Amino acid sequence: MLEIRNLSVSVGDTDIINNLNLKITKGKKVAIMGPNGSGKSTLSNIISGKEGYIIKQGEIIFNDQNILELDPEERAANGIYLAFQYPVEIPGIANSSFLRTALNSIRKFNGQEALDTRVFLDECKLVSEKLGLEKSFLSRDLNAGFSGGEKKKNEIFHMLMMKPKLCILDEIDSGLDIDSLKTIAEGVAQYSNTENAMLIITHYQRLLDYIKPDEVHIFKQGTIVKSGDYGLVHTLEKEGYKGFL
Amino acid sequence: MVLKEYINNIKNDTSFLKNKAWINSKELVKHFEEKKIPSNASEEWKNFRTNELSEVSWKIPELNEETNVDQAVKKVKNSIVLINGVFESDISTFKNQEGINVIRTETYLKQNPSFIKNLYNNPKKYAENRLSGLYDDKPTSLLSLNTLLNKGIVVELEANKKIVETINIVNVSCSNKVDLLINPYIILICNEGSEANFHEVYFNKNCWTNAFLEAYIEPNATLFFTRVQKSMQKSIKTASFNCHVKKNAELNLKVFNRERSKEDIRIFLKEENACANVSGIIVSSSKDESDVFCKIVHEAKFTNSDQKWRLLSSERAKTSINGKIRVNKGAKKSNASFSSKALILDDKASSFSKPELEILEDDVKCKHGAAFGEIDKNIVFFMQSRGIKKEEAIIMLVYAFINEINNQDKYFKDDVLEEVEKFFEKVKVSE
Repeated sequence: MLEIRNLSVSVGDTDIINNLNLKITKGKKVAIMGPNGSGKSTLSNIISGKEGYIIKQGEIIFNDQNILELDPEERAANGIYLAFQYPVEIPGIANSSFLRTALNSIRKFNGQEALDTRVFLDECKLVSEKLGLEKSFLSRDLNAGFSGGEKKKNEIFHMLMMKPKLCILDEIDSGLDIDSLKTIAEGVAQYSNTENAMLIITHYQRLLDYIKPDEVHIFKQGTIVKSGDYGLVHTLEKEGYKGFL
Repeated sequence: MVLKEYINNIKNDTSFLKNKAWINSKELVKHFEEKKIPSNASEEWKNFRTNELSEVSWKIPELNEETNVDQAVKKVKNSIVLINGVFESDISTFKNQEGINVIRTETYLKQNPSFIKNLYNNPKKYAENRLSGLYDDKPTSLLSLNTLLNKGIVVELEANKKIVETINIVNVSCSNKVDLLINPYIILICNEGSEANFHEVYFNKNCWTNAFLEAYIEPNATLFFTRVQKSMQKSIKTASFNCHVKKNAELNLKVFNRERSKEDIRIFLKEENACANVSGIIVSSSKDESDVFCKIVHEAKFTNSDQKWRLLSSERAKTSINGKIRVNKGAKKSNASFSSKALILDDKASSFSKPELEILEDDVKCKHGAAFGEIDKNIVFFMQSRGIKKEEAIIMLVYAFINEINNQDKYFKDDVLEEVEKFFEKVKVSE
């Protein structure tokens, strides 16, 4: 589904990603762990198409297409979803209204008709209830005044509504209490299936204990220094990053 | 007839304004000629170019001058229509009903001669009282000009009458050449315990509209007033909204201003528990500027006021707000607040906000705040990453920005959305 080949990226004179190679196949859950400043969030931004990075070499192939030339909205329409580490607040735009606009933009891009309002609202209700979100959550302004946990849940809510092919979860577990973490992890685990893939960026074992990734990669200075299966998470928890860096 | 000739006629021919015997034409002409059109040297006018106002040889509309009135104007429901500043009862769809009257000023004053004392007839009435103790009547010279030229109307609500349906005031100022000076004038009287909603719109083409509205809100009355500047084809607008609010009365004012417009709002909270809520959206594009001066004077105790402004500048344009709160001696326990937020869409666009407080009494609460910013690139990326195109994301963010104010009042909301849509048709959203 996603293949990153020999990717090197810088911001100004600073190299952030160094000759990175990574493959994520359909149906897989791939975790990336690494210390602060190792380039994990940068990688998620680059896959999603954020401006401001210099691609020095390499390519990102998503479903047989090099997406580096595509705008972020085109990547989203192709099925890439980024759950933000710090979701933004947008006062003046209701959560449900934003989501409907986003969904309809993607549908338009893919030559589909706009969503029926009733169908959309019914699905919103169903998904939000699953995540234990209150009714008012939909009518409130997007993330404005939301708690940290609510913002993260909202990211998962959007993901479940948008049904992407590749879900990039950038530290979705940071700042969550135990119950919220469980709810979010369950939402992610339920969505994961043989037709989609997950790229989970995290510092902690807790989330991965729920999601149980198929592959784990340790990131250092913008490249992978160690790869393994779920067992690598436990080794890391015991020994820390020192043994790998 | 050009303006200069008109003024000379007033000076030389005592019967020239015989239909407006109530005005002190000598005093007003003297004021206008001495103070002239306000210049940027005046604090209230420093953000608005006035050179065109001084340089053009303005003409006064002739009686029976033909004006093409858009069919859409004729279809506005419950409307009071003024064409080039003159009330046109044939086009207006509002019909006088029990409890509310629309009447030409001279007729009203014949029936209510005691009201003459309330009219603007002396430059001192709205002169700025400086803290130094001096009064500054320079910025009010355009009120004198309006008074000399206008053919105004009075809209009066009877005591305790509550009008549910919004009354639309439609001002059409239109000329074939770019030199016509139009002076709409409305006196709005809300008698004790009355309540009404007014929505005023301006259509301007090839002219300078110098509008003046004076509102009197008597005890326990409530006035909801919204004002939208619609099309501004090769036009300039200067407008004054002056309002006197009595005991337990309330003014709710919303304005939408756009390029080459200057609005001067002065509200006087004259008696206990008088209240004014003022909010506005100021938009400008191209090389134009849109400027508002808004002053609220707390003259009595327990009075409350709130000002909220949103400014939107694009290309090389400028938007500005000077929001003044004055709390006079004796206005104890008063509350006043001012806030403005400006969104600047282009590197060469600019915005100016100046909150001013003059507090002459103890035991009052006053607060003010102003913020300026650009579109947040992180928010745009967030929206793009959810599938929304960049241009569309920016437009959505602008709507969200103004929706913090534009969230009620159906007529106002619809008109503002239409105008902002036009703004984006003209303005290219930055890549």
